Amino acid sequence: MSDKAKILIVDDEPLIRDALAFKLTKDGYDVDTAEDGEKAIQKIESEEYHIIISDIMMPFISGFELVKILKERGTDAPVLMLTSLNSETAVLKAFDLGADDFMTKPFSPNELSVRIKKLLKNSKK
Amino acid sequence: MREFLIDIYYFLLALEPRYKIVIFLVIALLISAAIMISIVLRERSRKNSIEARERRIKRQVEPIIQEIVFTEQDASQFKDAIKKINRIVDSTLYRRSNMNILNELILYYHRNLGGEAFTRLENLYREIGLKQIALENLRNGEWHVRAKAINDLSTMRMGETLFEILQYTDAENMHVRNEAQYAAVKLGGKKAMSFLNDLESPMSEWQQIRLLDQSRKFEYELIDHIGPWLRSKNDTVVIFALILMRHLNQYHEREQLRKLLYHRNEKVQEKAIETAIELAYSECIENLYEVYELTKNLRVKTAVLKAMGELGGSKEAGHLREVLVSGKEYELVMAAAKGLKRMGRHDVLTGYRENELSEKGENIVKHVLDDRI
Amino acid sequence: MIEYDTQNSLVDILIYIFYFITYGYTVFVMISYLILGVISVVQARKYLRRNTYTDYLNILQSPEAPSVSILAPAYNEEATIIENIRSLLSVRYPNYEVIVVNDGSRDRSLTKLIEEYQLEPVNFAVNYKIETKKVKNVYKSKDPAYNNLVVVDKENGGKSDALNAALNVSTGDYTLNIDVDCILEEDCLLKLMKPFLEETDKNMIATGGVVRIANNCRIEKGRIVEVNVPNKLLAQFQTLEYLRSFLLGRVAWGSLDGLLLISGALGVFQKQLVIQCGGYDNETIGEDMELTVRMRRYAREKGIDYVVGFVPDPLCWTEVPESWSVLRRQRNRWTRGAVETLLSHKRLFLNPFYGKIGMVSYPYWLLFEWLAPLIEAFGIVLLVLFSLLGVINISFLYLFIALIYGYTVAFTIATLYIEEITFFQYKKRRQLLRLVIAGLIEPLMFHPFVVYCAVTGNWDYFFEGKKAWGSMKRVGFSRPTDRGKRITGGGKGKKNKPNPAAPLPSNNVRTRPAT
Repeated sequence: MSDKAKILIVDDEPLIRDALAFKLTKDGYDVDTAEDGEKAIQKIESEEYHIIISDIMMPFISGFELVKILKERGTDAPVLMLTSLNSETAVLKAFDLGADDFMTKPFSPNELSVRIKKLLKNSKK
Repeated sequence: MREFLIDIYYFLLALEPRYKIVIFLVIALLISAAIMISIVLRERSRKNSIEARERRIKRQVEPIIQEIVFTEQDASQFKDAIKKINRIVDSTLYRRSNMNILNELILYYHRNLGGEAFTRLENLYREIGLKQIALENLRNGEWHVRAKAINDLSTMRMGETLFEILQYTDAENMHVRNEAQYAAVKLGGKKAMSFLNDLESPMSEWQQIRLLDQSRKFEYELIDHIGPWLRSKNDTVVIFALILMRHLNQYHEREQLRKLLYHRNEKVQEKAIETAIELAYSECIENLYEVYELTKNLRVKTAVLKAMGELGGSKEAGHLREVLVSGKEYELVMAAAKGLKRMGRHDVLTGYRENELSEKGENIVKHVLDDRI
Repeated sequence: MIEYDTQNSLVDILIYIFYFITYGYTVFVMISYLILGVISVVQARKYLRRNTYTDYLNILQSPEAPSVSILAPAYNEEATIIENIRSLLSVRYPNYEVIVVNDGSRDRSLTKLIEEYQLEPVNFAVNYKIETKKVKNVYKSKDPAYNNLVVVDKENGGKSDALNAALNVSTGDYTLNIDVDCILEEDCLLKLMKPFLEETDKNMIATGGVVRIANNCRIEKGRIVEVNVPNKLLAQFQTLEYLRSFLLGRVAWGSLDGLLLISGALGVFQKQLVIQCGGYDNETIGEDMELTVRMRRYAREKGIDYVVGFVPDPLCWTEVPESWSVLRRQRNRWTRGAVETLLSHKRLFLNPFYGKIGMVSYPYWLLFEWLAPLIEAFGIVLLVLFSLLGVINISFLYLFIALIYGYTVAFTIATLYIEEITFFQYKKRRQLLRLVIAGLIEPLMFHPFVVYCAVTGNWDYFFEGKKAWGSMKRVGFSRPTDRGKRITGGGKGKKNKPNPAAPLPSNNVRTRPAT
């Protein structure tokens, strides 16, 4: 079994996707990306990820809907919402729908690393 | 061929003036149409080439920026990186446009990244000369160029430009002014908000929303100036101060709300009541009765009833019951019922003698008690 | 230089009128369009420049964003209703509710909604501020994810009645009125609300937006993913027409604060004022124009210093008819609606009390939107007559017609040019050229047809008595494409371009357009 954790990044902005992929690959993860909720679901169906990082405002299936669908299907992987929405309602809604963590943009890449580590540790238990 | 043209020439020459004018116009129109089509098509190829250039620059610069942002670099590596970027954007013809592309790219990263990455991007922005360009635009540009420059400088957190930007907070052009105010709050925090002390131009709701959004980042700090702002002659400043009080929990000037309940501007009244609710300022409840009687504005009245429901006791419950039974306007009856529900006075909401409530009142009570709505 | 026989005084007078129409009127029309065009370009550029740094995120997460109710009336739309409501529920705005009114549909619209959104009836106390047909039930969803959805089931009463019922139930300070079948851009509400929030001096009572044509565009899950020029020539003509009208005409009128019409397909209104002036008129087929005019009148008469805004971004996409017969009925209705509104507000005509509206907008509509096709048709009849009689200088006239044609084409191409430098929606070169070709044919083919429709519309209105919804026919509104979104404003410079302006739907036409 490979000890590299697999991460799926879901974001409709290519620059963010690339930047995150760059950073997380550097941190030693196996990184995969999807540009919207629908593609993410397809990927998750065919492969198992240890953690999913998702934007909220995306075309077709928003991050909220994505979390809802994933949690309804019983996906184990923790979901971290990474969004430029920083209103209280957005945070509440995200956790309500089953998100495991929430970060707002602008985000610190280092903080993100730490949170990912923590989420992975918790989900392994 | 030549003879033919000469024939036409003499033919035209012999025509009456009005024929000449119309023929001339027709030809002019057709030519201008043809020119416009060719401009459109040229514009297309120009756009395509810009896009291609943009893609190329992004492709080349992106890895360098990622390297800068996500890895530890010493000074010489940083310098090298800057040199590389400079080489990429360098061009005699397109330097300006290339710098714009680079500018947007860095701004984009900056909007999304924080922490250490943030600082590194800011350094890059300064070193590569983009800050200088923005400053020049600010000093010499048209209004939209200025506004954009201010916006860029504040997005990139160029704190050292704050004093220059502050000069524009009451500028004549609304867009420049708005950007300068926004930048002031972003770069200077609550201290820089002193521009509000003697702001003469009105603040639009849009601007208030933006400034609030920015101010929420320094949550739970005390803003000393709120007092003077609440007394400002500029009503929009008063409203903004109330919004700040409400969302940033500024309890220290609560006493002033009492006076503002009687403000001549109904929007201020409404906002003052909302703020009183949020800050649980129940001391003003006696004044609310007065306001209710004095005002004719339905929105203000509704807000008063809401405040009574939120802040009041059994005396206010009595008043709300009164409105529920004898109120004429739907909005008031509804607000009264909601107020009672908020107080948890289901006993009052349901305890009526037969026919004491109108059909409307009964429906409204049912509506309010229905938690699904 | 007079070349006709002067014995006959009637012919004499006719010839005078004819000359006046052809030369005086045409030149006047051309100049007006030119002015409108120039104003539009200036305004659109200004708007775009401002938008280079506008960030909608501030308001998207603001607790201070004013509340908006989206009003969506539906009649027999079971095929598309779920999808359409879904796209309404995903509009980006922090503080809004969606009110769907089922206007006594005879299909399974309501059942479908109930199933899809797990609706249940609630004890809603409807505030009948505006009289409407009876509201049978108000539904809310059991799923908290849809807590901003309200479904109103009422007896059938037509589109205006449905909109009024929605107004009665709504809680927002503003209303976004749309046609359910339109495809909205995600950020359309943010963009339409911005003018309200930015206005500091005056009271903004309404804001209109741009409607674009969705035929042949690639649509996925209720969203436009690729903009294309329609395949059918008829729809291409309409594309040009919409571009001219929205990009040039309305932008200019918007900046002059002279808009008389906010399309029923897309507009935001200050709710309080709509209610105060009595809501939508049940008796007219042009309820959207009628409301805009009445609101302006009301505001002026109450001494409110008001303004009506306009957002030039493409925010809403709709299918237009691709069959001549459907288009004919649509334009016929538009004409009747405009005539009706103009007649019922004739007080405005050249009345200085109403300011620009009375002195400029109303006369403009009267002259360009209503009378223009009639004058043009009259001119053509005379032209044929005179050529047969051989009483006028035909050669100069033909030359003049060539001038009109040249102007029309040049104007159309100028519109394409402006689109190119502003919103740039048609990205494929070949498609652009197709539009240019359509622009060359249009004055010969589409324009006469539109004139014909407008003339028959007038005929039907005045002589056939097809004034309003007609009590028997009042069953609801027809299918989307059939309804057509109104457009008006700039147009081409044919001697009198009848810019189709007119009201939406009618009940009497229930044909499904070919889509």
